[in-house]
Amino acid sequence: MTAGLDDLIGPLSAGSVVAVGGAGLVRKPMAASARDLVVVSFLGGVDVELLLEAGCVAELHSAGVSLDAAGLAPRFRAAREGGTISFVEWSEGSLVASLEAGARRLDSALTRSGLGTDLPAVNPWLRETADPHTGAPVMAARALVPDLALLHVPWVDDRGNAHVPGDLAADGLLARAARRTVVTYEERRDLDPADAAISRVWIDATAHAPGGSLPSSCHPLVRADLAEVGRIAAGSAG
Amino acid sequence: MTTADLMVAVLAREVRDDDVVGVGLGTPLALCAALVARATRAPGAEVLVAGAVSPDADLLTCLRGAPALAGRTAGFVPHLDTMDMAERQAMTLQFLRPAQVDREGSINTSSIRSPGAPRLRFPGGLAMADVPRLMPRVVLYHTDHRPRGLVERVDVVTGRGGPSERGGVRSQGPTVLITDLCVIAFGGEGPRLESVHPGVDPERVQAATGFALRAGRRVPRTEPPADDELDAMQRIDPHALRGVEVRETRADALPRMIALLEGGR
Repeated sequence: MTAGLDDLIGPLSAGSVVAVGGAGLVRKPMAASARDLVVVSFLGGVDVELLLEAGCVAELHSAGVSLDAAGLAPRFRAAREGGTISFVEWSEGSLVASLEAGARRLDSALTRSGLGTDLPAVNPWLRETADPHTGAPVMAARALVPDLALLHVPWVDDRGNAHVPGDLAADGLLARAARRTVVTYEERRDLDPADAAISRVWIDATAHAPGGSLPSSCHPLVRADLAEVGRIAAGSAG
Repeated sequence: MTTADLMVAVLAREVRDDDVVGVGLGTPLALCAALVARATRAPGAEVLVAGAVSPDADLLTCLRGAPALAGRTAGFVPHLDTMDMAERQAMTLQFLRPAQVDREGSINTSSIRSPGAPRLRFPGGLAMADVPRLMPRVVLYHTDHRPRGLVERVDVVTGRGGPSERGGVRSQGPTVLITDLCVIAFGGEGPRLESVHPGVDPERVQAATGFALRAGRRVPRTEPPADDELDAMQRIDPHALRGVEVRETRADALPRMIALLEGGR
């Protein structure tokens, strides 16, 4: 990554919790430097594969990692089967609850996600408990507060708001939960701040990084590089 | 008629006119079934496709994702909102395809232990841990009916089977499992063989299943797709991309799907 971006991101060290935006093959910011990070990737894809390839990951929190139509993620699978990273398995709903707790600086948040499953046995951030008001069984998801959320969007407007046409995945939530949010973008554009997907109040720094999501897409400006994704799926790129 | 055609028709018949069905892009067969249901017996059903609400589009266009559906849809719902929809049962049905299913209808998408071999790891919980106890109804399907996929007890409970009522939310859990060989119903006194697909006999199904199946003296044959269902499939999926999840058609359908997705750019 560029030196400028390094400066914006600030110091990261072993154990820093870094959340990555996007989902699967969509809007994955492609930048990595520090090692032994705790990585949070709501729905992981090429981001997780490349961070593993670069040896950046000590612990990974995710509801699932795959290369979508291209199949399973080989480095993720090898790292889990070889026990070379600690994988904390979430479901989509419980990870959202955890980040919502983080956004509000609560210790935990309640959800019905994952009730009756083995998830609490493999994920110490989840614990089944009784609702204090009604006694009903609920899952308490412990808060995740990323030290850094790294997001990639097509446009940032002149006031520093981020614009994302289409689905935001968990990006807005990551920005609200993280201590620091850095947004890389394809183009700066004169867009109405009222139409922004993520307000600048949640953004600490922006950086121009064209092609910064490749090989994942950044609709409507950048299409996914499916040939490169295919090479990653075959285990031969990175 | 391919196995995929038959499975699409059977899945589609599970959709009711008042259902709100959520389907993703990773499961073209289930997506095809939801679109066929809307085009045949359940025109009132709402189908959420990657956030697009009941798009008026064929399967290929849907697989191109939400950007391709702008202008052809009743609206969009953000991915995070669909999780709230699930928690408050504003979504009523999902189709799930787990790696393992057991006699209770519990499902596993996390990992499988195989004796003498390394543990196989799968993508992770995704929404599979959330859906079975939240959705009013869940329909399971499995395209490779073998003893290692249909087991007495799943190695990891990614999603719990059986009916439940927790915190005022009532769910039937997975009610039915549709495979490439047969249809199995859950509940009551244990899993029951409802019907066998044309050319398959009940003994072969039991031999391929890791748990005991109850069955009547004469097991009915699965009703093949009717003319209107085949017409709808042809209209919605003329390239037969629904075959991509089934072993016998995957080798053909996968490169065709990738070429069509690339070609439309």
